[in-house]
Amino acid sequence: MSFLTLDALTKRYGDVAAVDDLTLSLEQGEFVSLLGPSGCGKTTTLQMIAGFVAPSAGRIVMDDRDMTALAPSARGFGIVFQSYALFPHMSVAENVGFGLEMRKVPKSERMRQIDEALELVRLGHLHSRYPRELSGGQRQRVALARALVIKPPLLLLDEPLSNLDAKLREEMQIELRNIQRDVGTTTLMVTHDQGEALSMSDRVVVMDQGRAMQIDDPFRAYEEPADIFVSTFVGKTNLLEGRMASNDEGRPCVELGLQRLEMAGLGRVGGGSVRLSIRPERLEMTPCRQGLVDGRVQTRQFAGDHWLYQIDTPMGLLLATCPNCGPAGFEVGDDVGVRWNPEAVRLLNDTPTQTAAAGAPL
Amino acid sequence: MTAMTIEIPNRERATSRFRSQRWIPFWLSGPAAIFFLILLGLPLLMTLALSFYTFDYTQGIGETLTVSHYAEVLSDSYFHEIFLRTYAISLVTTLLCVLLGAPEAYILYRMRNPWRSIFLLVTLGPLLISVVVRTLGWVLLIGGNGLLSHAMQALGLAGTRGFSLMYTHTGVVIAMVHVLVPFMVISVWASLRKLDMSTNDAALSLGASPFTALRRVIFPQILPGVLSGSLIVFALTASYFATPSIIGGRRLKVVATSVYDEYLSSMNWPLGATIAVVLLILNVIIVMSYSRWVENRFRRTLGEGGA
Repeated sequence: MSFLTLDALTKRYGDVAAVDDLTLSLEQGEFVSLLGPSGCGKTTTLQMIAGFVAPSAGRIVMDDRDMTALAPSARGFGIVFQSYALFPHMSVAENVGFGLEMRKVPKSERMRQIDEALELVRLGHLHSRYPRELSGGQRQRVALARALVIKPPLLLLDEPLSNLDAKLREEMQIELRNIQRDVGTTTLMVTHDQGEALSMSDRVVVMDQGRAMQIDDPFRAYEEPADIFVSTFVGKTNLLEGRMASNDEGRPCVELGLQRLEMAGLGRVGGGSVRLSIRPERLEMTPCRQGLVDGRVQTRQFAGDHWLYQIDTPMGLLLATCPNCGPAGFEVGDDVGVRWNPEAVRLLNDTPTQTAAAGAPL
Repeated sequence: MTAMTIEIPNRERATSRFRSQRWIPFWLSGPAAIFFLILLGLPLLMTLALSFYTFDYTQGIGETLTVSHYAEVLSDSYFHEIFLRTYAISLVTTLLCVLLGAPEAYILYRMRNPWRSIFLLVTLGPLLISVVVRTLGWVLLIGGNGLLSHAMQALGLAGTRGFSLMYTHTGVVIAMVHVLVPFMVISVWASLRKLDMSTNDAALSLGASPFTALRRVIFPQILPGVLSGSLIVFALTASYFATPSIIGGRRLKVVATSVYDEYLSSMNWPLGATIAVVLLILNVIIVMSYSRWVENRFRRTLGEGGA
């Protein structure tokens, strides 16, 4: 039995389903991200779990207890808000201690726990400061300490790092994950940043238009995207069209450039064409006529650790990245070949399907 | 050579333009400043000067200077009563405006559009109508032959003589609250606009009941608006004329109406000027010490200047 279960959770506003039949199970101690573009229903999902929005249908069950109708204050979840939502009229210590005060923890015990929580986020020295006297990163830590000090069974993070600048965000990703591992609190994070979701989570729920498109660990969500949406939203990709054919032994295969690929799952596809995806870093650039398809370099961008090429080929515009090992090998306008490993090609479902979530029995 | 002859006049023109630019702010604000000085500063100075002239009921304003009017205002219990009454009405009006206006603003703020806009207009709309008209409306309601009186008689709560709130503290306070509560709503509204409503959610998630969240988290954040609104309401009430003069009349004099009476009934202009100056000084002292206190109170938590 899983720790937290969302059972066919649905939220409708009028005719529009903000969250549509979402089923998800979290194990104790797990870090799961809801990833999707704005308006995909990830924040509504979090608000329903927190108790700020009442679901139209479905249940929220934690440890065999139905939480669906419980008031937010009775759920006892720790929440870090996008704006941090620190109380501006209270000092750092008062902010962190608020939840303990509500739980009527005696003062001396409260002080001890506040110190402990502030030590955990390395802010022990800022006790008596007020929120507006803190930097963005420090506010973020106070918000985290405030959410964790009540020892919540579940930590909800609503775009927790989106207000920080890029460098601080990367540091906080690592630190947040370390703290979460230390305290072992089951965590659900909402984010639109695929890098953040991939680097921090045990599992990622990729959402679009209120539905979970794929629920998988980050590596699989990236390497084996379920459909076109997931493959384009999680990382960059090249979407290609392959023609169905059959090989010499009569088995179905896909023609892609000069390549004939035998792939699992082709039996389900009828004739015509299929959608395929190859990640830019899986494309290898070669001198002309030595690859599987020829093309001309249209643009080149330098991104520090890698070069990004756009190559105009008969198959369409291909995006290829090369690690930066010395000066770039190709110039804009060069004729080049492009090569890839058959294993790097992924077959995509054309129609959106709900994969892991669909009809999973409890 | 030609380059030189062109360059020098150019630079000169640039510096002279720069010099004239320094005066542009003065030219722009000058008309308003002169207008302000003539229409406000000058009468104020003349009032101050007037308050030091002697007055005799047979000979009018004398030529010699005296502080006897100040001595009279500061020592006569008649004036003490008027000042105390004025400030008591101001205090009660301010408190009622806080009790009505702050929740009203918060409820308006939590409403969704279009109701929010509609009710905000309903709240602030009366500001578009003359205070005299609104006060006379209250006369129709609370006067001896008014709606309230008839209703009380119909219910058997008042005798045949009817029931009137005219010329009573209650009547003045009710009408003053009605006239001034929009200022409180506007002031609290400004604070609410800066409020992050997710702090309310945060308080709820930490185990606070909705009422505790309101009391411990929301109210302290809109307190600066409540305090500055109180200041506006208090200062306006203390020097208000129209409403107290219509509802309070001669029987319930406040400072503003007694200044008017000294000027136009007793024709004792110096005494009227003295009362006005004393009111001004008292108001300035109250307003300045209050706003200094508010600023110190909120400098650290809610930014410079509090509200």
